[in-house]
Amino acid sequence: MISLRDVTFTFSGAESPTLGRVNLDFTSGEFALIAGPTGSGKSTLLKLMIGLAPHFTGGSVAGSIQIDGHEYSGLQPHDFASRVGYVNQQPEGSFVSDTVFEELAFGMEQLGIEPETMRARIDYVAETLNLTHLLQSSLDSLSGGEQQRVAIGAAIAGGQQILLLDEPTSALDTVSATTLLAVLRRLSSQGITVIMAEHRIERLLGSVDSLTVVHGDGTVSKVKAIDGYDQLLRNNRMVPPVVELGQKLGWTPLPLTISQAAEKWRSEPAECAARGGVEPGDTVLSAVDVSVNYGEVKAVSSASLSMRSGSISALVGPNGSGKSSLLWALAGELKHAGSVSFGDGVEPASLKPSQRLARLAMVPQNASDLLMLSSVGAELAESDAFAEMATGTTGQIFASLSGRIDPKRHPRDLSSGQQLSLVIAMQLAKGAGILLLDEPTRGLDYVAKHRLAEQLLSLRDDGKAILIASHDIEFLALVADSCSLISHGALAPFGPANDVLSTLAEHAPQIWQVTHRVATVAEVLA
Amino acid sequence: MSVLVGRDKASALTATTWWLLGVALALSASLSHNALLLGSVSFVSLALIAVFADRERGRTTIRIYGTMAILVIVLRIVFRIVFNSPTLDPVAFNLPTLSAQVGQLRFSYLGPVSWINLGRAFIDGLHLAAIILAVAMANAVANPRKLLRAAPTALYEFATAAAVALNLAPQLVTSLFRVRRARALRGASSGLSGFGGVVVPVIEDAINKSLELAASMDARGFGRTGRQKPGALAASRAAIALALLLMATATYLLLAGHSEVWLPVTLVAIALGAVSASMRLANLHQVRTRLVIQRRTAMDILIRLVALALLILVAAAQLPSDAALRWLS
Repeated sequence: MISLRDVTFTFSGAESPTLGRVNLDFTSGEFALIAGPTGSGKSTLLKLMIGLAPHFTGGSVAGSIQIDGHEYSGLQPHDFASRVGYVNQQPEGSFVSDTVFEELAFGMEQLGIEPETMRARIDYVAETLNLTHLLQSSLDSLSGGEQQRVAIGAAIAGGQQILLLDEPTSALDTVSATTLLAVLRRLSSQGITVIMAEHRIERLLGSVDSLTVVHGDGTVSKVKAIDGYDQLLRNNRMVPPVVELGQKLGWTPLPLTISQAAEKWRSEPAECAARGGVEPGDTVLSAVDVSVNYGEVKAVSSASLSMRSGSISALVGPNGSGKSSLLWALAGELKHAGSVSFGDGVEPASLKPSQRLARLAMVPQNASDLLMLSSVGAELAESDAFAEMATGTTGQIFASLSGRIDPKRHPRDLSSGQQLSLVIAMQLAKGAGILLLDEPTRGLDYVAKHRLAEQLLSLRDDGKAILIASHDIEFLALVADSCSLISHGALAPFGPANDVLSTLAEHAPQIWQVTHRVATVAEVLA
Repeated sequence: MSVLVGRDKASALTATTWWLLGVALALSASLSHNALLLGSVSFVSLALIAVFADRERGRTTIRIYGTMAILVIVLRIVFRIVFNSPTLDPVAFNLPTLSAQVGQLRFSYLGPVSWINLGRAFIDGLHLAAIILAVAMANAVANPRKLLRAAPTALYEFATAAAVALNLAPQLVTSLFRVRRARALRGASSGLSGFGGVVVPVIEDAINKSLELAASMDARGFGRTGRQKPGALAASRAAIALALLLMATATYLLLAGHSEVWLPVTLVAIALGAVSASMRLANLHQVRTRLVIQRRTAMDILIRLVALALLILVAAAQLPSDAALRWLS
């Protein structure tokens, strides 16, 4: 269907190519996964297949790209448009219309499809993607999962036989991601070649037809599912928990899905050592009956919680469940009803940022919004100055979190994980004992997530009280001591993390579903 | 075949009409220094936002652009008070005069402030504020992206550039909110201008988002030219470029007031001819079809005519010969 022959891509100004002499073939109806560390060139590989690289990214390309034997190298994205559909990471940013119906029609209008045919195609696509009831809805009113499906529908409505998706599931909660996956599977069984780039592959590995790994050094390897991924995954650190478990226990072949791992576990169970519970300290922040309303929309209704030093608690819930709003309210930056107070009764909202940072620090979803200077060194110095701490305070925290980084580097050139560490260090410079993190694993690959987990655990051991809002169950399993489920703004009581996460049934942590005793690979003894 | 879409109030008129109206109001404001006219433009723009814009969007627009408009007026007045020119007119209030001598030049600041000077400063500010509000109105009521959908193929390159640029402003606003909220969590030392720190991420974010939109539109086939002869394509583009150049020259001549009326009018006429020729050429090989069409209604035509009439009236009032319309300028 689509083939790349000796394709080399180099960003302008880069010393070495991002992709070097890549040869790949994707067949008709293939459900293909492209994996690899963040920044390895997964997105670039996708963009090459629709001409967005180099036409929108800059850089130079060599080699040949063919679709059904026709040469497409050098063509513009709009020349690819009749054959290839593309859905980018944030579909809401690419919408051109107001309603779902108009959005589905837009691409077909550009392709010059007859109105009668368009109408039929829209009906068909809406049916396939379960959008029929939403056709007249405004795009703004849709959930993340629905927006994603509209973007997919718009990408294939014109009869495109190749669908490219850039990280389609990473911003979605578990339920929406599962729905989306089923839809993509259905499309591929109808003969559409579905190629997706994703670094969060725990839900995908078992259901795709092939795995392509972009290694980050310019090389790319592709293996078909029937040939087994063992060689590719055996010594790879970029793997989901079940595969990690297989690596640790030396299983051959490596399990790709929970059911494969569970079967193997039944015949060869291993010893487990559940993580010792921590003895949390004093209550440092308590919230009573906190409600947040946006106009008539209730984002949070009467949530009560308390945070204790030396413990990590987690708010688990789908997108739009009110997690972020609750965090902003706790940080004193969002108007709310009810009371939020520190251990001594002082309210966060009554303090100026400089005073508040001595007690409470928050890292928002887009951590990089807090970075504003042109070098890491300048950021660290500004942070010391603002916190009125000795020069080097922030630098020390930062180094302990992420190792030494050249202070001359531009903060925006750091990886997402490094940016996050930098922001955490800055926010903690004044010695805050409370840390609130909103969806911290967005954009982090497995290695970066493990590193973040270690950082948070060491902060906890230093006595910090940490609250994380996230829908990344696997990450929470690594760090959380206690959890509460939040849905439609209502908060369930907190309980021990494993007890709460295990109630999520098929969305529970993978290792829990395999062992039913522990939730992380570290707790399984080799 | 067409489908009428949109249940919101703004779809009473097409996006194109809203933008033509916005541009006509902005141009009228830019041509005039008449307080009554400027005040009316500001008022009409705000009223249209209040009535026709989506509630949330309207609220945000008024907050942002309204603040900007007030800021412009206040700044004008402050500048006029600081860089005061002494007059004999009735004095509103007295401030001590500060003077500085730099070489041969002598500067004086503050001093007695007259009512006339204050009034002039206010009108200067209102002049810009009215333009800002007129553009804000179009922006709030009709998403610039809609305008892009309606753009003829011949205008593709310009339409894309315009869409990216138009999308930049609302995107800037969205990003500004997010970054400012995040920034409040961090605080900033007194040595650091909060402004510079906010501007970099906001602009970066907004430009990225706008380019993303352009990339996504291209990937969906926007800008396909079909089987057009390269010659025809080049001719159609050249005609459009020529038209833009002529329009710009005409606008300059009109605003600068250096020329007779017939010259800019002739230029505009030639430009319109070039545009229609270019569209004819491009449409010979039309590749696009339309499913979603918002039909122009009689109301659209009427509003466009009124907008045009307003513009002509205000422009005519600028001409020194036309004494009958003096009251407008």
